[in-house]
Amino acid sequence: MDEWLAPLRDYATPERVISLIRAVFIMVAGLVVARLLGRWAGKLAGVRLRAPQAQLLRRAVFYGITGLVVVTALHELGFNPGVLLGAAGILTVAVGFASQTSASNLVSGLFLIAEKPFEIGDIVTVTEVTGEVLSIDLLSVKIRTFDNLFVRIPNEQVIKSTVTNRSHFPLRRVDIKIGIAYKEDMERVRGILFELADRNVFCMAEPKPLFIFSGFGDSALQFQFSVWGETANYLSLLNSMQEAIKRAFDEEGIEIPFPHRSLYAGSRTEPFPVRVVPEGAETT
Amino acid sequence: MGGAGTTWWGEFPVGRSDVRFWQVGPLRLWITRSDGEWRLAFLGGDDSMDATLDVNEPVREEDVDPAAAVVRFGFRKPGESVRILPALPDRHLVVNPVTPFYVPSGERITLYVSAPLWMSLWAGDPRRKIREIPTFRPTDTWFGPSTRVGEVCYASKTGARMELESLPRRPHRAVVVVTVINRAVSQLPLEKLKLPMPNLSLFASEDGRLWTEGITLTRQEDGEQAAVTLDADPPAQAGDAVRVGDARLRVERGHLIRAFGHILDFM
Repeated sequence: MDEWLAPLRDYATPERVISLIRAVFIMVAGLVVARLLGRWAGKLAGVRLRAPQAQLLRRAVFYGITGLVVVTALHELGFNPGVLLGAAGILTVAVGFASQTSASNLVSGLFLIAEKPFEIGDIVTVTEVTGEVLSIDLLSVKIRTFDNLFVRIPNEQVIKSTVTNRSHFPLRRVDIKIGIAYKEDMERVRGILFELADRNVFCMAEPKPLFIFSGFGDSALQFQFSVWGETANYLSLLNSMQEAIKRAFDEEGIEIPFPHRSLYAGSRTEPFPVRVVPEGAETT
Repeated sequence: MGGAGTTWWGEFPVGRSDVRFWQVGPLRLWITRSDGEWRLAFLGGDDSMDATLDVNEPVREEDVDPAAAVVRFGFRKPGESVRILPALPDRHLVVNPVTPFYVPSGERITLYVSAPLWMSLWAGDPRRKIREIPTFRPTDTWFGPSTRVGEVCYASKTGARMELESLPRRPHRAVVVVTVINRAVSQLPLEKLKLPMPNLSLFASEDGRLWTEGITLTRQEDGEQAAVTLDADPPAQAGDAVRVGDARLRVERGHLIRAFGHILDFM
């Protein structure tokens, strides 16, 4: 047993033990200082910067000081930092090749934080996912969809794809597409729609509603009625306007036609047999 | 039905399990007190010209309109009366004259416009505000140079009446006397007028009509600058009016007396 411990006893000279204690002390004290300084930097930056940027600064300070502390502790133990840094350089290249995706996400994350296309709490659509932004991190953006799913989208994908921010501006326009029968009076319908918009409390008086006659459809006169509302009231405005239009058209006897289809059996085929059934007669 | 001089605000005792009915313009309100709670049922209407006034009428439980929205408030000590106060809108009011209205150069005119009121209900011991209900909910509108910059206001159409007598008397609206002074050389089209409702107070005249402080809008000589000032007292037309409601927001002196970059911002 003593023979086995002999090399250890030879190595653990009093000087080396003191170096080890010093290194441990540097590590512990350094980590505490790194944490405190990181938190302080984050708090200080929080006053002027947005949350993701402040978080980034906090992490940069923490990891920067931690790196210095580790190098100092290793130096205390007798390791040469120059050799270590050289090895670290080679390692970085190797790790860089291996973690291309993560590095790309990381760089995209930095661009995303600098570009600010959306903020935490905004409603966005990214790559066909629509929901509320929960966090903007270095590697990914986290989104909560309206059916309460947690979706993580890598930053690279966010940078590459089209992002629609639905809550960026205070106002939104609701476009309602309607078709009415050819026999209806366009001016009357227009009057009814403006009257409905005027009565709807969510519908802005300014900017004024917009009536666009978009064309002659297959079975209906097509038009678009656009009204403006507060972004927060978007759904209330959409629902209340469409319900009111349906109700008003029913009351006024304005027809919203279904697509009309003509069945043509071709000149070479026999006509469809049609049987007239008297009202109230039983059919089989 | 309330006659001239009847007021719908004040302190109203409500017996246990009693149902009391109010109608102030288009708004109908039923108030019930029971053990440890106050219950409100209210239903708004579309007709802003409705001038009906019913105050504290005893009704039966079955008379409450089933379409009314119902809310309940629990108290340890509910008290035996409800306090109802009139309040002005919580946002600015943008009024549009029904027909185009112009103020020629060098003119000073006085317009009478009306603003919808909110019913502020207080109950419990000690008194706490339990609800504010608009007697008529005006539609939203946007006031700003673009859809990106501006603020959400309430919209109201005005006849921009020049005589007080021609302004219809409606219990759910307060009279705002607006003086417009055009010192510029060109005429001033009054397309939109933004009234700072949260900064105004309410006064009741002896005939039961509600008033705000007078507002003066002055367009300066260069035509680009405009200033808005609030009078300290209710207008002379209100007679010996008493204050019945404070402004929602206190105005620091000089806050409203500011110049705008463009006359359209002011109008």
